[in-house]
Order: sequence, then structure tokens, then C-alpha cells
Amino acid sequence: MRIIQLLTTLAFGDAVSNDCLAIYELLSRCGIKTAIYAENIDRKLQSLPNVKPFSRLGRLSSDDIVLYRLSTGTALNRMIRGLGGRKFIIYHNTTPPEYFYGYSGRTASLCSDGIAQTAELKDVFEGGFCDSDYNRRVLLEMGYKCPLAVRPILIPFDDYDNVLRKEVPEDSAELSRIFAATPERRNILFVGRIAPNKKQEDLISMVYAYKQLYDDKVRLILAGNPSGLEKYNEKLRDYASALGLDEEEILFTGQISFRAIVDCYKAADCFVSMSEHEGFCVPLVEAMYFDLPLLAYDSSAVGETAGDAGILLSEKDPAVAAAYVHEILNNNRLRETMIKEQRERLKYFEYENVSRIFMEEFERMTGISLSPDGADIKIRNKE
Amino acid sequence: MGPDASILSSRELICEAVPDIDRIRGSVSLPAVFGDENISRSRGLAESVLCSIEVIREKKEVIPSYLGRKAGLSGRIFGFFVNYSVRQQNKLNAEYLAVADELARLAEERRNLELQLDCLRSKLERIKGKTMCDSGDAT
Repeated sequence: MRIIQLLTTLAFGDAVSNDCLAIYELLSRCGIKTAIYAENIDRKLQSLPNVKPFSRLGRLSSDDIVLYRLSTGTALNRMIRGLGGRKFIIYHNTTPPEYFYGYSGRTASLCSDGIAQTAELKDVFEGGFCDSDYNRRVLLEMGYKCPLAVRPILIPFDDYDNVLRKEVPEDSAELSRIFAATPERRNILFVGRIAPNKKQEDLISMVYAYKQLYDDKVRLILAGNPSGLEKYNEKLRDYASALGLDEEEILFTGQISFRAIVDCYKAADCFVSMSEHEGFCVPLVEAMYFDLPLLAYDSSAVGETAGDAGILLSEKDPAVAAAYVHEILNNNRLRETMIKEQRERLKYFEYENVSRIFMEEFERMTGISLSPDGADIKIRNKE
Repeated sequence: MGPDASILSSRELICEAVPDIDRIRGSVSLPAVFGDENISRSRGLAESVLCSIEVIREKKEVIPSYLGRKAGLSGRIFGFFVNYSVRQQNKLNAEYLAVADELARLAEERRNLELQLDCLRSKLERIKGKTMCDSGDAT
């Protein structure tokens, strides 16, 4: 028996790929014969053992287990039905295509195909793992009848500390220079791809409102890769410019190294999200890890990931968001309470806890028991 | 007496710290609308196509052609090929210009459709708003 993880793209640093690698390590520690097959593999990951191109996937035996990661439209979605073995879906959700109309026809088409293909595959899987209950509900609405478990994304937090011990890349040094040059400016951070569903324009509006209402200086850091959505990125820049916000007030980092992202978290004073569609939202958990008070628009899986921690917005009024940010930045008692609650919430996402949830659900679905050698894993309740 | 402040959650604390949220809501009006073509520093598609068409139109005819009537045989053969290639070039330019004109027409049509779409969107928003008010569900 082997456990095969199958996905379209194994990239360096994205949440789905990190989760895939973390599950791979966990399964290896459990003594399971496991491998990752992907259509596209990042060059940095090609040398990893048992990471192989999909084209090299041989015949699967009936007791092999396929964990199929689905997040977008892909040729793999059409092939999965014909593969042997016992098939399980790991569902990461797909962004509604409407967000990309007018910005990227290709992305809109991929998302549209992804949603249609997910629905077409409803009878293919024996069971499924969803990053959030929101994702589980999406599959149920599509007509999935198989058992569906909720298990959060596995985040290897050690990587955030380990990267700080490595050589400082140029982009990280450049960001440090920017932050050091303007120490009076407090940093509001959002981490995530520059994409219309993330609604970075609402963050820019919020900074404008902040400037109108308060005297203290803030800077919005938009740490995200605009690749493929350059038109949207250009419109964001135009918008910031039309509101009279300069580069000191809105910092577009572009694609940056993992180390530079960690530097952004370390330099930030709070984390704000206005995203309207998230299947999980890893940056919220990262913000908790870096003790950044978080303010987020309550959409899709955002509220579920935040749990009882962080401040959730039920509206998009820029003045309201600015008022909350001002309070978070200046009210020490509020900050301390927020950080305390977030640390409590973070316990649910600890590697040991999420691993344990995965193993328990995996056993429930497949009947196969996983037990890592010598690992001290304790389960925590979700609530 | 209110609840013990020491056990308030952050969500309760922020409500307490920002009590006048109704006054703050809508207090800042934005001087620009996201996505508005008027704030775009980059040229729109229609504008870009029209600019390049003007450049092509100015250079669409390659002149002069070879007109060496008094040339010898070799000169006339050379002239024939020069004229032939010039005619071919002009033909290609004319075809290219026709395609560019069509592209400009489509870009203009797209711009008009976008305007109509915006108009319909705002009508829909108004209808939605009315429906929500009618049903009492304004949240």
C-alpha cells in the first residue's frame, strides 16, 4: 500500500504545496511508503526524494491511496476518474471566476473549469478532507455524498524561525532599509497574492480614510505576487495615486522571498484583510504566530479560521476599518487582549494538533491507522 | 454597573473603545473610484490601438517605386523586382491597416459595452437595494 498525493502544481512557498510537503513528511514519519506527483514542479523542489512528475505515475494497485488536491481547473481533474486505487479529495476551494473578469480571462477560465470539474467529480471519491467547514459546505452544495472531514492546513511554523538563521537575500535587506528609514510610520500588513478576490483596493481606501481621520502616520504593506494579474495590480497603483497616497504610504512589495515575507510580519504593527474569498486564509494564522493583532472582513472561511480571536468586520466602510485600526494601534489594553486571544487560538493550528486531527480523520476514512514514531501528539478540541 | 473590564474579550473591548461607530460610518468620502478609467495612468486598449493606427496610416505607402525607364535591361529587371516588392509591401500594409481598423472598431465597441454594463450594474444595485429595503433586510 502506498499513499500518493496528486496535485497540479507543487510550488515553493504556497500554502497548498507547504501543506502537501508537511503531509508527506508526516506520512514518511509514520513509516508509510508515500510520494508526491504533480504536473508542474518548482525547480527548487525537483531534487526532493519521491517528488515526481505526474507523467511518471505508474499503475496504481487497488489498495493504494490517492490524496487528490483540488483547487483549480486542470487536465488532472479529467484524468483522476480513470486512475486506480482508493481516491480521496483534499479540497482547497476555488475562487469564483467573476472576480477575474476584466483582469485575466485565463484565470477566470481556470476557476470556472475548476468549479465545474469539482462538481463533476462528486461521485469519484471515497471521502474528503476540507481545509475548513466553509469548504466542506461548498462540496456538500455540489452534491458530494462521501464522508467529508474538516482538517486545517498543516503549517510548519519552524520554517519561519529557521529562515531567519539563513543568509539575508537582497529583497529582505531592501525592505529593512525602507522600514528603518521611516521608523515613525506604523505598518499595516496584508500578505496574499495581488488578486481581485483579496480586495486590496479596500485596504487602500482604508489607508486614505485613516489619513483623513488621524494624525499618526501609517503605511500599508501589500506583500504579494501580482504575476498573471498585472492589470489589477496596475489599477491598484492608479487608485492609490488618485487618492494621493505615495510609495511611503502604500508599499507594493511584488514577489518577494520567504525571508522578506517573514521580515514584513516582524516589521508590522497589525494585520488587516479585506478579502472576500478564502478557503482557509493561512496569513491569518501567520499573523497570530507573529503576535500581530488582526482585523479582517468576515467572509467565506475567514471568521472560521480566526475563531474567537481577532476583530471581524461585517462591513466594508473605510472609515470604520480605519477607526478600528487606529484603536488597535493605540490601545495597549486592546492589543494585549487580542494577542492573548490569538495565542490561544493558535494552539489549535499547532503542528502537533493539526497532524493529530489529520491522522484521526485519515483513520476514520480509510481504516488505516497512522502513528508517527516517538511523536508526542496531543489532540485539542476545535472550540 | 457594566461588565468587569478585566474579562472583556477584544471584540467587546473595541465596541467599548469605539462607541461612536455610527457617526464614523460613511464619514470619509473617497475622491476616486477604484477601476475608473479616468484615473488610469496607463492608456486604454482603444486609445493604444488608435495611436498605432495613425502611425501605420502615415507610413502605409512605400514610395518612391523604381521608375528607371531609361535603364538598361538589368536595370529594368531590377526595377521590376523593386516595384513588385513595393507593391507587395503596400498591399500588406493596406491589409494590416484594415485589420487595425477592425481592431479599433472592436475596442471602441468593447468600451461602449463596458459603459453599458456599468450602467446596468448600477441599475441592478439600485433594484437590489430597493428589494432589500422592501423586505426589511438591509443588513
